[in-house]
Amino acid sequence: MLQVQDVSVCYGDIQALFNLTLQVETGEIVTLLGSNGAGKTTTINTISGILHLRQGAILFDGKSIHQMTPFRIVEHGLIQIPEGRMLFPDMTVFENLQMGAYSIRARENRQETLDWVCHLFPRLMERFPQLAGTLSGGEQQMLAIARGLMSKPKLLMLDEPSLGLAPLLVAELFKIVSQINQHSVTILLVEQNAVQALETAHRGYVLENGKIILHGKSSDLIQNDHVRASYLGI
Amino acid sequence: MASIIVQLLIIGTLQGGIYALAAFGLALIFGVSNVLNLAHGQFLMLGGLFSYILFMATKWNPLLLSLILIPLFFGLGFLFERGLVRPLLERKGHELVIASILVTLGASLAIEDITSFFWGPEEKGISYMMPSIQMGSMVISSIRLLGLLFIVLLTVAVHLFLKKTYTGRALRATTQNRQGAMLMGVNTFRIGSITFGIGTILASAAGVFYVILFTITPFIGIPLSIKYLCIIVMGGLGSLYGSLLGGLILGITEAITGYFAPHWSETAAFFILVAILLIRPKGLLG
Repeated sequence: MLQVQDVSVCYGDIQALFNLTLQVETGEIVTLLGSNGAGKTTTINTISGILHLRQGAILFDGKSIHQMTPFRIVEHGLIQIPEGRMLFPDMTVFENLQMGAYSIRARENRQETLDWVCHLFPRLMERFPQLAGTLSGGEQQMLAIARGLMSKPKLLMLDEPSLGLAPLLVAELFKIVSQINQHSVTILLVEQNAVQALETAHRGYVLENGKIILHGKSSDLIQNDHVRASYLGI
Repeated sequence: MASIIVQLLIIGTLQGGIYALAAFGLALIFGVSNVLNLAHGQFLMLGGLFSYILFMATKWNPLLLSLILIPLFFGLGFLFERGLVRPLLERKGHELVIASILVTLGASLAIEDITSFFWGPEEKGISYMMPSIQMGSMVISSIRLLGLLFIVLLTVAVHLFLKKTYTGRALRATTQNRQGAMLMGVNTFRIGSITFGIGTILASAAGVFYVILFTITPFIGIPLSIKYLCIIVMGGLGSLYGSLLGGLILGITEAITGYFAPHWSETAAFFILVAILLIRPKGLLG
């Protein structure tokens, strides 16, 4: 479904990604692991069209997307839930969800999507008239995911969704990620929290200093000595 | 005395309404594009000038003539953004602000020269009489009341646009988080052009009232732009509705001090600005 082929990205003179190749098949949950500054957000922003690549190609559903603007990429059903949530703080929870269904693709079935999202996040429904900026951190993360789902993603990319959440909420969050996946949404999960991410995902990639150094099935990665030492703390 | 106070309040609200309209337009533009548009006052002047030209040609009610200006000035603002502002958006932060000041100031000077070349530098005003309304001992100018009504209608229309339409919501979303809006599929560049169009409509509408109540010359644009900048700072940068409040406060202050101590009206306005910023450094609603 998504193919990132031999991609290099630079910020000015500094190269952030080196010949990065990864792919996500329809129906999978794939996780991209790495520590701070490894290039995870750079990768995801390049896929979303916010950053431009210096070399390589990105294909989504067989179409080349690396020269498209971010808003056209959204119309193809490739949705990012960014790190730091990027909600609209002075708009209500409901308006944020409406903004999720902004793309033409998402507008048609927005009522159905809204019902599903409310079913996933019953707590948000009680908060429809509240301003998004006044929600707690956990609720804001739920809203960010709900808003992303309102865009009717074929492939949903989550950038560090567990960042700053209490452990109990983190567990709930990963459960929701699996539920979304069962609803035939393919998922690319960018995480620092390797334990939970590998338990949830089918496959994983490990990113260090802008290079993919390892990839494979989650069950294999959990056994890998390097992963155990660097990311699982075992 | 009561009649004077009512009159002053009407004049003040109308004057404040004019400020509020134009400042609201500038706040929209700043919020979406992070561009300080010093040509904003010139669009007000052009709005006044065009309605003056139309009025001289037809002698119709200048407020009704202003309806023709709406699509015209939307197009003007839209194209202004496409041609002069869009190329600047590659720059970030203070570079963008400085570049935008230089470019829009240059555009202002050009507009000033072009208008004084073609239509002359002298003062122009529309003196349009409508029967006054008498209430007891009070005489209220009905063109002023009609002006107020137009300002309220226009503000409500923009408010509904911002709240109820997809494009309006996308505009607000862009002011609150540009990248977040982009990731939801908002073409933030198109929103930037539309916002310039709407902001320019508001400036030109304020210009119509300006030319009816006062007079215009080609040289009022730049000082007015600076005044509107003050108003949006007073209302709170980034707060769209703060500019409305700031404009109203400034207008009423100017009208009241203008009656009792004419020389002090501008000074009083800036005293209020400073006082508000001392108490609330981020502005009224910032």
